[in-house]
Amino acid sequence: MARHTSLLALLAALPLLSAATRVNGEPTAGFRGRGPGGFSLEGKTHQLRVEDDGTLLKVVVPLAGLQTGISLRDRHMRERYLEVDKHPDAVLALPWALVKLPEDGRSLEGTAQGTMSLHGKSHDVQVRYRLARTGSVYQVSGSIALDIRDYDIDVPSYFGVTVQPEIEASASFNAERP
Amino acid sequence: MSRSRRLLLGPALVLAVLLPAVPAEAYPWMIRHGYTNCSSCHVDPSGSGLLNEYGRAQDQILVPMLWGRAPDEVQPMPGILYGAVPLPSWLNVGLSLRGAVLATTNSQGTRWRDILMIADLRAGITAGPFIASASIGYLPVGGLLAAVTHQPRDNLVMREHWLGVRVDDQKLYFLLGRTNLPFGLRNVEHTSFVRSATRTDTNSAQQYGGQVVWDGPGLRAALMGIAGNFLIQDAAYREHGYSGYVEGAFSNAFTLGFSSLVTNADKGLSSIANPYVIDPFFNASDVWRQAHGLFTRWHVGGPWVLMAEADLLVQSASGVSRDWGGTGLVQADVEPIQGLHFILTGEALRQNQVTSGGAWFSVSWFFFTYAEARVDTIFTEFGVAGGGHEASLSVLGQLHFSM
Repeated sequence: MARHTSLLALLAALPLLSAATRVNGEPTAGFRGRGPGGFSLEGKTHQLRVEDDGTLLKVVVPLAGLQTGISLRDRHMRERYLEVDKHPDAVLALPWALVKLPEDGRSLEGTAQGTMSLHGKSHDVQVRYRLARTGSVYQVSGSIALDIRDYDIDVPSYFGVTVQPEIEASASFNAERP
Repeated sequence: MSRSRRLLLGPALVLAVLLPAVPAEAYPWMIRHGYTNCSSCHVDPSGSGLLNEYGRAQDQILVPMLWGRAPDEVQPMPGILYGAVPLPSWLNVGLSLRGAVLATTNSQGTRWRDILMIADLRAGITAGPFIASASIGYLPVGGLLAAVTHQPRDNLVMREHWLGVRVDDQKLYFLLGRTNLPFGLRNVEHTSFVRSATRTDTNSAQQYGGQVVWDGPGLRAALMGIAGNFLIQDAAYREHGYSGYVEGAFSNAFTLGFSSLVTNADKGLSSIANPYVIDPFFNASDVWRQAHGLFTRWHVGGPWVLMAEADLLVQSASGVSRDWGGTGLVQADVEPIQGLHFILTGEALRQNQVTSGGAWFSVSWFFFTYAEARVDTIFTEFGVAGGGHEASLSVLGQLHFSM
């Protein structure tokens, strides 16, 4: 009977755990890439969600909403390179055990080992993050350097301009964690 | 030459050289699409003029009105002439034709002129580390500083011709030849005070010399050693010195730059942008010309782009009092529908103790791929030496094909 009660309690707690971290306000996620000379491009989306099961924090960015400021380039990015119909999300998974949280009213910066899943491939990545805490609200920003070739994404090239495969992906959002 | 003839020649030269022609294309408002640098699209790493392969594609995707097509449905045609003539990736060719009608009203009445502004053929090579660019064109009047023939009218002009090498993943350039002066905004309005008073327009103010250009992530810079404009037959009027800029891109939407120019010539050409002022430096000896200033480009958001430039002007010559002046321009470009630009420009100038101001309202309509119709309404209050102002209203209608 006691075992059954514990199991029921755990099952009841799971939704609470999964909702333990909530994103507030307008999040931003994106990437910055470079080409020859001073060529650069930035992609940005305000679609981001967090999944938290208490042991693993997942930052999920739907890629269909990424915009670079040029519609045709966005279409090529979605269809030719990211193939978002097959691989709709970029997911960064971080074990809570590796994340330090600041005291109330303080901020801290750090790095943590996470796993980046993109275009059907997953690789360990080093995440640089900054957390600033006010009560139960955390201002979160982080970035990772990645090479799109590691994720079997073709290196974009268009009318003589080839983008460098090394890009920086970043995200910033406010999260509430009771 | 008598003093009175010399005094008249200054303004006359300004009118002859500046008014009849309009510059090559350069669109600083492309920062709206995140382009803070110029070399992605232009053969000249500081922008303007001949487009490279990528630039020709962007010219079809981002510039013209799409007439109901979705922006992501545009399929750029390779080559030139709407894809009819293929080009190898190392060869760039461009044709620019710009004609206009100008009506100017001032206290002396209204004057109408029809003008062939540009009829230029351009070609360039971007092969490995080597680049080169040249243009040749015909002008019935004006553009004398770029003329390779020396007739009172009907001249051949060669605005640019240079050779270069680019290294370090196209970040570092070395150019040699006749090039645009690297200075300030490379805006198309070459008669704007900031361009005409500094003599840094892309119409005919190019000079011979060597340039080092850096076009790196977040920073672009150029420094040109000016050897002179060898198309001026009288060597005494050729300027020597430097011109340069450094511009930081603090994001893909905001840049801030600093420009500097110092030249010296045995005899002075006129830099007066106000035709109602007699230029004391024209034909003076040992003329030093300086311009130093800031410029910025800012994609405010949505269809709005703001550009501004402010320059200190200093000029001195043997036997002529040093003149401290300045010039500035603020321009807002709003593109509510792709291809249709409404442009508001305010400008000011102080030269030789005389202050002038102007306001432009322009509509630029890229109604089809490679085709632009543009109307500029320009109201200027030119200061008059000794006090007072002379008002001028100009309406300039242009039709422009560039491919």
